[in-house]
Amino acid sequence: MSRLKASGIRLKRKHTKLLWHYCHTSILLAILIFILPPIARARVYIDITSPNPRPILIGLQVYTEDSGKVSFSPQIKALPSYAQQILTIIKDDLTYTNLFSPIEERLFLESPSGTFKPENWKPLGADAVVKIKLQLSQNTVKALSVIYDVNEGVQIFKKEYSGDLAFIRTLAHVLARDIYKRFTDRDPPFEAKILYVGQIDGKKSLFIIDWDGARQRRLGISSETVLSPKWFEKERLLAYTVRDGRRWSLKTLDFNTMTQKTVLESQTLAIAGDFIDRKNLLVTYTDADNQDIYILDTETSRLKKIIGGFGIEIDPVISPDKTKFLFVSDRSGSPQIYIAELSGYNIKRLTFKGNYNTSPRWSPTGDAFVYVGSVNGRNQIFLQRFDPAKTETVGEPEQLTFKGDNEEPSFSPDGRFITFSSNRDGLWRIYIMRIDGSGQKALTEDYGFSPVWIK
Amino acid sequence: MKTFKILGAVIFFLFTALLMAQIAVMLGGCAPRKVVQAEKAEAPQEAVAKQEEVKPQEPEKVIQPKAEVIIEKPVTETPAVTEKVAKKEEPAVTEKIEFSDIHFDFDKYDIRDDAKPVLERLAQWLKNNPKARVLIEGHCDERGTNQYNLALGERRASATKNYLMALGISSSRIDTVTYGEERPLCREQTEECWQLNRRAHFVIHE
Repeated sequence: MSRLKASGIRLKRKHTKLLWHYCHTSILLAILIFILPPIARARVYIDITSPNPRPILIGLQVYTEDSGKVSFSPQIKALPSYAQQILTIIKDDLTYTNLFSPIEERLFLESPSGTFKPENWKPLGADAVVKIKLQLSQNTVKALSVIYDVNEGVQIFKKEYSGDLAFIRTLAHVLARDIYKRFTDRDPPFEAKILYVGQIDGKKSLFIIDWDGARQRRLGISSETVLSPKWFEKERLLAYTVRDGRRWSLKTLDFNTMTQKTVLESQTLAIAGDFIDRKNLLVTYTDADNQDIYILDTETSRLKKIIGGFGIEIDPVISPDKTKFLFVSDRSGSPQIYIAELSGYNIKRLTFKGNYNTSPRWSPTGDAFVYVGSVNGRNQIFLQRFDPAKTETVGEPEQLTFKGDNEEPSFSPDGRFITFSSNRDGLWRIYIMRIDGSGQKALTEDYGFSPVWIK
Repeated sequence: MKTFKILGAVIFFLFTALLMAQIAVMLGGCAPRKVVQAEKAEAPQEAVAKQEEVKPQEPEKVIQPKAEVIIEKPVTETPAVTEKVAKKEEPAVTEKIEFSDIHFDFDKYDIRDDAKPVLERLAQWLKNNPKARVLIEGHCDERGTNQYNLALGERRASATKNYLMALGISSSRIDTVTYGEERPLCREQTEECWQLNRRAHFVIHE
C-alpha cells in the first residue's frame, strides 16, 4: 500500500501561507526599508572569542514620537507601554548574552528624546548609548535606531525599520540583533526559534517558541510519542520520529512548502538522526534485534547500514562539515560516545569518564560537542572541546548542569547558548543556559522535551 | 367560472414553480457556501494534523492486542499460574491468565536466572494453548536517557522473545514492543522502584 511507501502530502496553498506566517513572522515583517548614510569604518567593540569579555555598559532609550496627526485607536493609545515593551525585550536579549550591561533608567541624565551629549553619559560610566525613536500609525510601526560611542562622542550606527504593529516582539529582537551585531560583529540568536516536543491532551506534539520562550505555537502534529526532531537549516527541513504502539514512522517536514512526508515505516525501532543532505538521513534502525546506524534515502526509503555490531548503536549526529558523525554505542559494555566517518570507518571512542554517556550534539563550528553523562544516577550535561582536524577531544569534559536530570542538549546557531530539557522542578521543561553553564532558566511552563534550534 | 378555474390552476402552477425554484436556489446556494466556510474555519496549525488523520491506520489495529486480556498490574511474586491453567475447559480462563514481569539489571538486557522459571512456565502455557499469542513489552527505569532506553527496552523484549523461542515457541506467536522509560510502574527515586521498572511485561491474547 502507498501508506508504506514514502508519501507526500501537499497542504493547500492557503494553509501553507498561514502556517508559514505563524512560524516565520520575522520573515513576513518587512523590516529594513533602507539603511541611512553608511557608517564610518565599523570598529568591533567586543571580542567574543576572548574568555571573559568585559560587558558593554549601555544606555538604552526607547521613545515614541507623537506626530499629532494620527487618530490613535485604543490599542495604540497605550503608547508608552509599546515603547516600554520594546525596551524590555531588547534589554532582556542583550543582558542574557552577558556581553551588555544596561544602565538603570532612573540614573539617566538625558531624556530619551533629548539630543545625545557625551557629558550626560560619561558620569554614568556608559560605553555606548542607543536611542530608538518609534512612530506608530494605525497598523504599522517605524523605528529609527541610533547608536553613539560615548568616549568618542560620535554616532556609530543609524538604521530605520518598519513593520506591522502586531509583530512587536520580532521588531524588538531585530533591533536588539543590530545593537549586538554592531558591537560584536556576530549574529546573535535573538530571532532564532526553539522547536520541541510538548504535550497536549495526553499526546505528544511539536511546538515552537522564540528564543526567550515567548510566543508558543503548535505545529499540528500529534501522536502517542513524538521524538528526536532534527533540523537541517540549509534546506529548512525537519526530520522527526513518531511512534504509535508498535509502529514507528520517520517523517520529514519541509518548512519552505510545509509539505510533510513519511520516509520510513517500521515495526521495529526506527529513529531519525541528522540530515546529511536534502536526500539522505542518518537513522537508527533495528534489524534482526540489532540497533544499528543506517543512511536512509528519503526518496526511495532504502537503507544502507554504516555502523553494525552486536551492541546497541544509536543516535547519529552529523558534524558541521558533514564528513563525520557522533553516535552512541555500548560495544565497550556501557553506552559511550564514538565518532566515525560517513563511510562507517575509522570509529573512535571519545568519552571515557563515567559509565553512561549518551545524546551527543555538535557545536555549530564543530570545535565542541555536548552530551549527557550520568552522575550519581542523575543525567547531567557536559561540554567537551574537540579538535576537528585531529579528530580528538581537547581537555576534560566540563559539567554544566547539577540539579535534577538534564537531557537532550542543543547548541544555538551562534554556539553561545545551549537549550535542553530538565526535570529539576518536577515536570520536564525546556531550559536555556550559556555555554559556560551560567544563566540557566526555564523557557516553558508546560511539559517540554528534545528542544532544537531553528533559524 | 371556467376562466376562474383555469386562472386558479395557472396561479397554482406558477406558485409551485416559484417555490421549487426557491428551494433549488437555497439548496444550490447553501452547499458551496458550507465548503467555503469549512475551509475558512480551519486553523492553520491544524492543517498538518488534519492531513495526518486522513492516513489509513486500519491495518495497524491487527497488531494491537485485544484489550480484554491485558493485565496491567505487575506481580512480583511467583504467580498462581498452574491452578488457572488446570481449569482449561473454561473459556474464560485465558482472561485471568497472568505472568509476572521479569526483571533486568541496570543497563542490561540479558535474562537473569530469577526470570527463567517464569519464562519456562510461560512457554509451557503457550504450548498448552496453541492459539494464544504473547506481546512482550520492554521497559526501563528512568535513569537512562530517552533514546537509549527505547533501544534498551527493545533489547529486553527481544532477549525475552529469543529465550521463549529457545524453549520451543514459534516466533510468529510472539510480538515485541519497547516503551523505554515512558511507562514506569513506580516513580520513586529508589533502587526498589527502579528495579520494578526495569522489566519485560507480558500481555497474553488469543
